Amino acid sequence: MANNENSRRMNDILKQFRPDHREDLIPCMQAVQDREGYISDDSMAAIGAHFGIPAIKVYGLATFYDYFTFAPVSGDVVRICNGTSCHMMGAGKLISEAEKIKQTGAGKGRSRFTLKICECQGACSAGPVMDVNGKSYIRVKPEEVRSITEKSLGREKGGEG
Amino acid sequence: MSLQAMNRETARRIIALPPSKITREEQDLLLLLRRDRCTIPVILVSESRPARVSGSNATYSAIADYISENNLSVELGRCSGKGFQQNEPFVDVQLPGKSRVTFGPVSPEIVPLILDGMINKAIPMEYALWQYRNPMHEPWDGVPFFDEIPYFSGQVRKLTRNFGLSDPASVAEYIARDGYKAFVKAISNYTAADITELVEQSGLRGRGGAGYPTAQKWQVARNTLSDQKYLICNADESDPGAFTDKALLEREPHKVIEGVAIAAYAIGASMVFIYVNASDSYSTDCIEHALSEAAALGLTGENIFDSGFNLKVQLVRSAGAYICGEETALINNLQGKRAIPRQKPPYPSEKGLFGKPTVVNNVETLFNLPDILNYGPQWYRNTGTPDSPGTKILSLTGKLKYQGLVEVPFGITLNDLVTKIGGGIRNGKQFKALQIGGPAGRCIGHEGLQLKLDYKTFAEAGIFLGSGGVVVLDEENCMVDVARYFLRFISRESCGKCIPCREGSRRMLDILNAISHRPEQGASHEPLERFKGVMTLESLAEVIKDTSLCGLGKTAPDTVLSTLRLFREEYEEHIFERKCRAGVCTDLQTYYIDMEACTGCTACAKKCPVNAIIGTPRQPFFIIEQKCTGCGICMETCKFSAVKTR
Ligand SMILES: Cc1cc2nc3c(=O)[nH]c(=O)nc-3n(C[C@H](O)[C@H](O)[C@H](O)COP(=O)(O)O)c2cc1C
Ligand code: FES
Repeated sequence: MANNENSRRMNDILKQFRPDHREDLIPCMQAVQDREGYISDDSMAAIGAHFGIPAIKVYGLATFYDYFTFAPVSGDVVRICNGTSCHMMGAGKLISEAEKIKQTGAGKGRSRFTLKICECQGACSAGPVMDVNGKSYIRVKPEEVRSITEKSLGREKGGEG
Repeated sequence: MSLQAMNRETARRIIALPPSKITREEQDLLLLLRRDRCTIPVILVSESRPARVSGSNATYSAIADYISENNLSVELGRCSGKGFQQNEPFVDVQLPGKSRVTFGPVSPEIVPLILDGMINKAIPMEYALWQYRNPMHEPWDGVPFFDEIPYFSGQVRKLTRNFGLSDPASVAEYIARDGYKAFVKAISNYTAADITELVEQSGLRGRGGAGYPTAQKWQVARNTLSDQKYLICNADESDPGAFTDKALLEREPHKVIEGVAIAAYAIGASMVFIYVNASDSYSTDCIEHALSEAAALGLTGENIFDSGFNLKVQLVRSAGAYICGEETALINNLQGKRAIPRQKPPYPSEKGLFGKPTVVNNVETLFNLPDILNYGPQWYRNTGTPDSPGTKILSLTGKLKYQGLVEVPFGITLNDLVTKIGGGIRNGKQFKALQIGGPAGRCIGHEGLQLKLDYKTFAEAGIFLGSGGVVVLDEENCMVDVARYFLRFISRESCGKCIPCREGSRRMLDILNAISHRPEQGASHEPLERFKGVMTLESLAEVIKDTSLCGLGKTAPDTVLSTLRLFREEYEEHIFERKCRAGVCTDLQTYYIDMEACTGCTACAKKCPVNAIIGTPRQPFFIIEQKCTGCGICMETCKFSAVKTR
C-alpha cells in the first residue's frame, strides 16, 4: 500500500535524528523537505511525534523559514533571479511578464509552471538571469521571457501529469 | 589534479615539514601541482556559478570531445572562478615551458579554433585575455599580463590570489600552495594564547559587518570558564545581492577550513559549526567535499598531527531567512528554534550555543587567518589603514563595465572602486548612486565617492559596510524603486519580534507603493496624502531605528532615508507629476499613440479592457489618459509599435 510505503520512507528519515535533541529538529525537517519536495500534514505529525512536540509547533517553526513548502510543486519550474543586481538590471519586468504568462500556462500543452523568485545567483554581470528546469538564460530581456518559457515548456504535457 | 597524485603520507609530510626537509620527488610533485611545470599541455575550464550560468559545462564537454576525437595527449581539468564575470566561461591553456593563457568567453563553437591554434603553437590572439607571470615560463608575445588588466591592477589580491588558478576540489593543489601549514604549525609550535596575540597584533576586524576586533572577541570566550566552547563560522550571507562568502566556500574551501581550525584552536573550541546558506547548493557541495578530504588527511578529528588537539567540524545549512545571519538568531536556529534575535549582552562569546561560550565569526574573517600566521602580523598590516588593516572582498555589480568579486585594500576610495576597477559606467551612461551593504546599507551619491572604504571612515559617516555588496546604479535606475526593493525585502524578512520593525517597515512600504502606483479614481486629495506620506516616512524611519532590538531594524530604514536625502526631487516627481524619469515604475507610465505610426487598425481599441482607446478606423487612434489603467495590453497588441509610453 502507498500509505505503508510513505510511513516506511518517513521512518527511514526520522531514525537518523535523535528524538531527545531539539537541535536535530530543523535538519530533520530539511531532510523531509529535500526527500519529499514538501512537508505534508502527515509528515508534520510524524516529525512532531518523533521529537515529542505538537505538530502545530512543527508547523509554526516551518512557516518561519523560507526553506519549507507545504504543497507539492508542479514539475516545471521557472526561476527568475531578483537579487539586488538583477533587480536593478530590470528583473522586475521579467517577473511581471512571467506572471502574465503563468496565468495562461506556457507552451503547446499550456503547461502550468511554478514561478520561483530567487536571490543572487552569483552571476550578476550576466543579469538578469532566469532558468527553466535548470537550464540557464542570461541577459534576458522582458520581451524574451515568453519565447523562452514557451520554447522550454513547448512539449505536449505527457502522461505523468 | 587530484590527491591520487599525492598519497596520504606525502601530503602529511609536506604539510608538517619545512621545505628544506622535503625530498626531491616531493618537490617535483609540488611543481606539477602548482602548474609551475607541465609535461603535456594543460587545459583548465573555470568552474563557478557565473561560469555555469554562462555554459561552462557545455564548453568542458566540447573540449573533452575534441581531445578524444583528435587523440590528443592533454590534461583536461577545472579551475576555480577568477572573480571577473564579464568573459565567462574562461578556459586556461598552458603549454610546456610557456606561460598560462586565459581565453574567454569560450563557447563550444570556438573550442576547435583555440585548440587547433594551441596544437600548432599559434594562439588565436583575439580570444586571449591575459597571461600569468611566472619566472619559470616563457611569456607569449602580444598578450597582456594578468596584472596589466585594469580590473585586476586596481586590486590587491592577497586572500584571493589563488582564485582562478587551482582546482577547489583538490586538497593536493591546496597543499602545494602552502595549504594547512599555518594550522599545523599553530597546533604544534604555538599556544592558543600565542595565536590570539598574533591576531591581536594584526589588527584583524570582523568582516561580518560591524568590524569588531576579532582577537577581543576571542579573548572573552577564552576567559570564560566552561567545559565546552564552540566556534560558529557564519557563511549565511543572505543579503540578496552579495556573493562573496559563497565564493570563498566555492573557490578555496580548504582555506576556509584551515581558518576555522586555527580559530577553534585559539579559542579552545573542539566543536565547530560551519553555517551555510541552504539556497545555494553549489557552495555547500564544495565545502562538504573539502571537509571529507580534510578529515581523510587527519586534519580534523582526534589528536590532529599528534598535537593532542581534537576538532569536530559540522556543516549546518540555514533554513533560509535573512535574520539567520544575525548571531543570536543563528544560535536559536542551531538549537532548533525560530531564528529570532535576543537582547545582548550577554554576548554569545560569554553565553551562546547551549549556554556555552561561543564565538561567531564571519567566514571572510576566518579566511584571513592562514595568511596572518604564515606571513606575520607586520606583513598583514602592510595593506590597508592602521585602523582597518588588510583587504576587503566585495561583490562589485550593477551598471559597471566590469563586475565580479574584487579584493581591495582598506582605504581605497569608492571612486577608485567604481572608475579604476569597475571601469566606470557602461554604455556611456551617467553614474547616479551606489548602494553598499545590502539591506543594512545605504545609497551613496556623487559627493560620497570621495569616501574611503574603511571601518573608521564608514563609522564616522554612519554607514554600515555589511556583507560587502556594492551595486552601482546609473541614470536608468529609479531611486524610489531602489528604496522599495530593499523595504520589500526587509518587511518580508523582519522576524516579527519588534513591532516597530515588523509593522513600521510594512507601513513604509505601503507609502512607497502608493507613490509608485497610479492613484485610484476619484481620490481628490491624493497628491496631498502622498506628500504627507513621505513626511511620515522620515519619522517612521527614526522610530524603527530607535526602537528595534537587532541590527536588522536598526539599519533597515537607511536605504530609504539616504535616497530621500539625496534624491528628493525624484520622490517629488513621483508624487506631484506621477512621473518616473527612469521608466522603472511602470505603473506610473502613461500610454499614448504615435499619430504617425498608427494605421487605425482598431486592434488595440478592441482589446482595451476599459474602453480607453477611441478613434475612427483607418485614422490614428487616441488613448484617454484618465480612463487608462496602464495595463499595457494595447502596447503588446499593436503590430506597428505605435503605442508608446512616457
Ligand atoms: C540582520 C543581520 C544579518 C546579518 N547577517 C550576517 C551574515 O549573513 N553573515 C555574517 O557573517 N554576519 C552577519 N551578521 C553579523 C553577525 O551578527 C555577526 O556579528 C558576525 O557574524 C560576527 O562575525 P565577525 O566578528 O567575524 O564580523 C548579521 C547581522 C544582522 C543584524
Ligand atoms: S543578482 Fe541575479 S545573479 Fe546576482
